[in-house]
Amino acid sequence: MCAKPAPTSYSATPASVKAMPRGGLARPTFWNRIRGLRWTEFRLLLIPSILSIVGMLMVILVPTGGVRWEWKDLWMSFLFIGLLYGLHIWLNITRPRADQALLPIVAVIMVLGLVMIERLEPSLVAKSPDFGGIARKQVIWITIGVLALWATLAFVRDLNLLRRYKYTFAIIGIALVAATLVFGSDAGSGSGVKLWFNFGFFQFQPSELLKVLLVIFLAGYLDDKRELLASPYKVGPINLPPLPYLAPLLLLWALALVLFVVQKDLGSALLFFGIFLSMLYAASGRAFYVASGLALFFAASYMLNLFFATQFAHIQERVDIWLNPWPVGNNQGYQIVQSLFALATGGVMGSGIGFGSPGVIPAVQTDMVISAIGEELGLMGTLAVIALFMLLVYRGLHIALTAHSGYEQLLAVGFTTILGLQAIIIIGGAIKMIPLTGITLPFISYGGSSLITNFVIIGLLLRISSPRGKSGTQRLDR
Amino acid sequence: MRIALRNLLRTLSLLAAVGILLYGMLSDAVPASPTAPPNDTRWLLSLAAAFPLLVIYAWLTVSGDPRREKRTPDARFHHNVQQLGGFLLVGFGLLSLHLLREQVVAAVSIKDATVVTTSGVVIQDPRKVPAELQVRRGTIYAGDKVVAASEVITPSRFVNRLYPDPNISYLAGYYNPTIYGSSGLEASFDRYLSGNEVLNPLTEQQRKLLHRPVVGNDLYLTIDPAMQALAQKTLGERKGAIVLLDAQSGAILAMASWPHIDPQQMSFNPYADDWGAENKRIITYYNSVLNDPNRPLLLSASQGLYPPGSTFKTVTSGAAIDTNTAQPTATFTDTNGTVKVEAGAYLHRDCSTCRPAKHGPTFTMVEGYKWSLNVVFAELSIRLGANRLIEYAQRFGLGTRYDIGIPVEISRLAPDLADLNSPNTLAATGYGQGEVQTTPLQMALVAATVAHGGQLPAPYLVASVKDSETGDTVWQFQPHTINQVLSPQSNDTLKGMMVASVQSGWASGAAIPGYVVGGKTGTAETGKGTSHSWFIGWAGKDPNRPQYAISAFVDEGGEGTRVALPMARTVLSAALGRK
Repeated sequence: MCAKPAPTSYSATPASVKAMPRGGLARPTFWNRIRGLRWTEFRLLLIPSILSIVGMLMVILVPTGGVRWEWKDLWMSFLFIGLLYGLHIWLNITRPRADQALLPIVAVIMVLGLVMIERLEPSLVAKSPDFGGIARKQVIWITIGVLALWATLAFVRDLNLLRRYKYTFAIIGIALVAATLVFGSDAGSGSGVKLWFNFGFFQFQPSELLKVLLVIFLAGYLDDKRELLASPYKVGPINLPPLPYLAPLLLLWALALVLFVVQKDLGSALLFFGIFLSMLYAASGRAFYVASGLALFFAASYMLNLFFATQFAHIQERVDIWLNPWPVGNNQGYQIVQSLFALATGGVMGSGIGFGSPGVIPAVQTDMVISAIGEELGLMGTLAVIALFMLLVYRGLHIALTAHSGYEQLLAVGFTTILGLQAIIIIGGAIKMIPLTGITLPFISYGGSSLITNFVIIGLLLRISSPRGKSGTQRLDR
Repeated sequence: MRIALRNLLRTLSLLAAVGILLYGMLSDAVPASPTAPPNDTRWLLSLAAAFPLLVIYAWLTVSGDPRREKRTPDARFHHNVQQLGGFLLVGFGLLSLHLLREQVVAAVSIKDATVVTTSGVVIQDPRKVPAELQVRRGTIYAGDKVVAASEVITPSRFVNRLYPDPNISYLAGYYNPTIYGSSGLEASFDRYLSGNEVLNPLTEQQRKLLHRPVVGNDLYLTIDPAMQALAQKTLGERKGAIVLLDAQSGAILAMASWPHIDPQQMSFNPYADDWGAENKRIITYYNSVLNDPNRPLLLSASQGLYPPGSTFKTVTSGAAIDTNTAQPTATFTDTNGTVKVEAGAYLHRDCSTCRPAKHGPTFTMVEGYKWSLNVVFAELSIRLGANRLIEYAQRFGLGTRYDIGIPVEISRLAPDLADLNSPNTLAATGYGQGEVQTTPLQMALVAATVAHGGQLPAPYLVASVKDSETGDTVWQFQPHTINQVLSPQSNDTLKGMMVASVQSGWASGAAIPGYVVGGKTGTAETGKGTSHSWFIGWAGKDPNRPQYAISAFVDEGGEGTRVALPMARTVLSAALGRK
């Protein structure tokens, strides 16, 4: 029996409860109730609250060069703080034992994004009036996202329901993505990459939903077959991987991948592939699967390259730009070259919020937001973002380790991997560490589908971290 | 045993990864050419190599003893998740290192990168121009006059560079961050003017943190605004130059050239509503001055190379006296105003009005100098020989690169000094024809050398640089002499010849009552039937230390006596009379 990590003050179990004798119940006295409240979260939420006010003030005051402002200029900050503490109170009432660090970490990441988008709005409006009010829209999306989080916690009472309908979810997800091939639009980006459904007032990106559905499916499937996957499959004297149980997985994965290659959504394809391998490894612990998965991936890429050369020309171009963007720095490489200029300008300390000119980077409010942070907040700011995502991954994996069933463990691993990998892929792309692919930076990039999906993920993680009532199968070791 | 092996492998993979990353981080961060972007190939390769090593390190760190832990599925899961966490940690760690590279190690070369694509498009940091338009460059002063200044526009924080003095401002060069960069003092003293010369790193950091604008240092020129204005007015719209020096220090008191550009026309005005149109206006202006046959982009005073004509006889005489080849009383034969120094060569002639009528065939060197007889100096050059003439010409400054902050062409005796082995060329060079070409500044320095006891003073245009806020002197020119050209005795003799030229020679028009004046006129043949008009001279109260040295030059202006000499006299007498 390996040692569980010692419960810290952030742990799902409040200290007052833990001190009780095993099997005993905390006497519901007034003081015990007060002590059992989520005080850690309360205190940690002060950080994003202060940041949101200070950040907004900087955005408002820097262009004027003065110190004149009105309280109503800060309505976004107050709405944001209200949402955070509203959620905090609601969690106190309904899920007091849910993880207390998750929401504050996400809130700090989000406030960085919100301040950056508020700061970028005038620069973007100068380029095109279509960008008017994006900060206001982002706050609305955050509000809707918080509602989605609330709905997730309120309505997903039993995670086993998700498990029961895993095949249905998988099919819905694939069908949604397939539908974008027919009905998709490029959300006015002019890129021709049709990943969105246009509902007029709202551009919905189904691949955002698909990643959640994929994790739900994989967690259920892998937990069902966990024992089988971990043990070798014997054909006579030869040990083989349990191919029959891997086949449906491979099929699903290949289908998703082909869709993305056809749609040219490389970032999502990479993310899905990463999620797939991570969950497979977490469930089986066999590096062989990861190695053969990677080998398969490269073999498949090579084969596809032979047959679909036109589709892959796009990928080849991305790689060429990544290796040396300078010779094409006025057209295909423009975005990445501008990103490099912004990062280099920022240096260690950054130019300060409002003192840089990150508006020249195309898609700075979505994919390239890290470059804007790098210019105005410097290496300090970019490393802070990375540290926050590391904390988020740490909390997510911690939730996975303390989850109460094998299924929930795998769900938590999957969701954490989504957030962590997505951050690595897009930050790495924007700073030219890997080829650039268009996916969003969770909680920072401007965009509704991405924010709402990520809030649902956080809701599910909070849900996993706080078992209440019956929640499916027992942990495997009990 | 297995644990020891694993630990060894772990340590090795970590060390290898750190080594590879260190190598990659530092390689090619600073490219060979200052405008080339950093080459990331090695860094990306080292990232790719370090990644699996770090994953192995993380994997080995997490895996405990596999036999014992494999017992429970939960423990195994715990283990798998830790390894997955390790993998993500490596990913975030490499992101951080890559950011360190892009934002710190290679940042300077990325910012300075200028790439021209095959289609001719220039790729540059778009922040450069607006940032440079916001630099509050220092003011350039000449005495009490402002030569160049920065006007800050609120609230845009852009700066409009002004060049208010039409007589002096063109000496500053131009400042145009949008297209053409900068020239003249604006270019050579850019470090100070832009405030990039950081004297105190601590206050510099403080300034950056508080977003205080950079304020450049101020330049103080040696130019005397009154003298410069007079020189410019005297020159008028004649192509040429007047250079007035403080002979004792080398300070340039006036340096007028015509034609010249208007730097204000080159200055980008951020007030303009349409920046594209403003740039077009500047391009049109630049092309017009670039294609002007009079070449206003080049200042005649410092960048114009012309045959010095008879003024060069001063150099030849100095060489002859100092080497004792000939003293002023040495005699030369000039029977009819022509001489042939070499069989088959052309005749060296005196100018038609030079040789006094009713004079015998014998002339002393001083007579040859004051009446400017080419025949005498052709013979003198032959006696002197090429080597000694070359040596003394170099001592007088021909071949020297003067650093005065604006471009100065190097005056020269001949493009190839071996040409002087031909007696014909040597003879012609001795009286300032042949292949010798000098700038008006150089000829003023020849006069200044004679006035300065035979020592060539280093010329300078910028006297000091001061902090515009505190007034502290940041940089100061230390006046010095470049070399001792002539011995004091030889110099006194040469000085006497120049005085004689004014007292009783063709330069008599330069005499100023109450002052000692020495001078030499020159009428240099252009080879097109026209001639350049020259005068060099010095003047002062104290015959041992005459204060001012001057050269005046008019391109194809005709006889030195008639054109350049009166101009020089006007400026000299005003300079002498201003105290």
